[in-house]
Amino acid sequence: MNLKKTTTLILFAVIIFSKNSLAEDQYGQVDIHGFISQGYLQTDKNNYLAETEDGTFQFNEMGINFTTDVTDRLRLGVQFFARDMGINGNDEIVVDWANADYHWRDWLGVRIGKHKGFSGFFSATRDLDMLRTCILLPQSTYGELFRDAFSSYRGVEFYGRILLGRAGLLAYEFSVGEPNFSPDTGIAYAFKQAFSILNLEINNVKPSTTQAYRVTWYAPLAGFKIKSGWIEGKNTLISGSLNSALADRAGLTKFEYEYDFDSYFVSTEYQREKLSLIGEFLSGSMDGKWDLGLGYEDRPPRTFQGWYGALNYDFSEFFKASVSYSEFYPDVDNRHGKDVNPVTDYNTRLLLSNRKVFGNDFEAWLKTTTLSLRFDVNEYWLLKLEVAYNDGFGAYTSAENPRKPDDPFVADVDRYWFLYAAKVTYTF
Amino acid sequence: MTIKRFLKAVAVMVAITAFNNTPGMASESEVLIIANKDMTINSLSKAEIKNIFLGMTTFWPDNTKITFATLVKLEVHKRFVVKYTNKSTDQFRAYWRNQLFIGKGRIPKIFKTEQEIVNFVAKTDGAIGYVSPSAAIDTVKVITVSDN
Repeated sequence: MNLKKTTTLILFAVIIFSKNSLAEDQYGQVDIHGFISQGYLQTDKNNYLAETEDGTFQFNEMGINFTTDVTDRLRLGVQFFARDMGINGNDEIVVDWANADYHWRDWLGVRIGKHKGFSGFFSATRDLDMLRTCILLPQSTYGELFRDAFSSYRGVEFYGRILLGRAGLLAYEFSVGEPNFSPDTGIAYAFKQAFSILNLEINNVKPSTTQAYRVTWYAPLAGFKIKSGWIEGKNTLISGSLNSALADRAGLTKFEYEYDFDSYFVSTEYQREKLSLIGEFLSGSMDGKWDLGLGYEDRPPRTFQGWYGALNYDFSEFFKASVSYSEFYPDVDNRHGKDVNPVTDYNTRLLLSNRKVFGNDFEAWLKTTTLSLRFDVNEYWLLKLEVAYNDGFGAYTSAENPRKPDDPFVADVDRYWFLYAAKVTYTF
Repeated sequence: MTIKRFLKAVAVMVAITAFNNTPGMASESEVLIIANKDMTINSLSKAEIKNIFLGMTTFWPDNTKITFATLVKLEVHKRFVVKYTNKSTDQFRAYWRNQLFIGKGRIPKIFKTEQEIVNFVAKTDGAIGYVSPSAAIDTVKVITVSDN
């Protein structure tokens, strides 16, 4: 059954099982909640995912959900969502999640449909501005470019919780499914921009079956928790066409990239009254091969890593602040950006042999210090302001930026730059 | 926007709100935990109450569903949330919004008055809630709370 049919079925079931909200018992009542956010982004140098040097309002999210308990163990729900960030989203309405959740015992439940969240504390909630102090999550572990690809997945999820007595509580999830890969998502955009000199058009993205687990330990020390998880997918296939003079001269006729990926994370939080400290680490690797019309060639495996530390403090119910520092390396074996491409048939045809892997050294890292302020006007309205000082350009595509006049292979971007953000959110 | 303008705007916002400091954490004082009279449970630990009101424990030992009810805006709500969940009231609200908007929970039952929450607990199997010591609780049972 495809996702549209699943969503339609779940929405139909929510309506069928719903009843008057004044009913005596709780089953069948439909809860309706939603949110809408409008943001503004500006950079002093470099364009970040949009034309941010001139400032942009193409930065918003909105969602509405419908949830009902059919019985004391079965819950149905669906959330519709739209967002815009530069060329991503364009306010197209999508099914954010839609699932049937059967909670048999505390130690075992199962959800079928489309679900939120793969990794870390915040991948499931990254679209939900009202749940955190910062505007943009640290790009070291929550890269905006892959946000739509990894924020939800379709499949089956088993979950549960076990009380450990004096040792606290253990929560766990295991899932099998497909991530949200398509020619419209950031993962295709990243490939398209990486090969823009070949004028690559992505026609198809075939996601792999992905398995993941996540375990959270709530320690006896109040407010302390550790979460860890792992995800693996094999044989993701991205295919497209090449339409450039360079491709024609090099005899390159098509684009097929097949790869495996895996990733793991460790996240920890300590929250005591108004203070919370959060640290997260993420590492992942891609290993694949490509065929540009002359047969498959193995590509060098690449491992990325990122981490951050954040301190949040609630000064009052109306004012909260957060500071964070993060580092991201798109290739841990090339942290300084000095490595060059090996001499291969394809690299030579593409004029890439012996050229630096990253056009600018500082595209091999991104180090960001961020200050975020949150003002809760009331229970429903909030305003946030944020400033981030960046060293490097490692977590972003440089595609929105011009090329250097003397070298079309290298983006004309600056190493040090500021990002300013503001956002208003209404939640009901 | 220059950084000077940005910092000026920030300074004004901070000045307005930082000193309008309604305490997020109320002092610990008496809160009565109440439950449906038909329940066999008579006592709970603080940890068990926390797990119930954060949705970590959703079934009683006999596998009947736990239905917990909360108050809103009353002082007893602040006292309960701080004492038993290790969160402020807005952190508690954010916690449940989190569960709701990712499709893994529903917002708890919320009542505006203590009489309403007592009536709900009295007529709902497996229900648990909280009130201040001055509330009329003839129709429900009071749960004894231990520290462990």
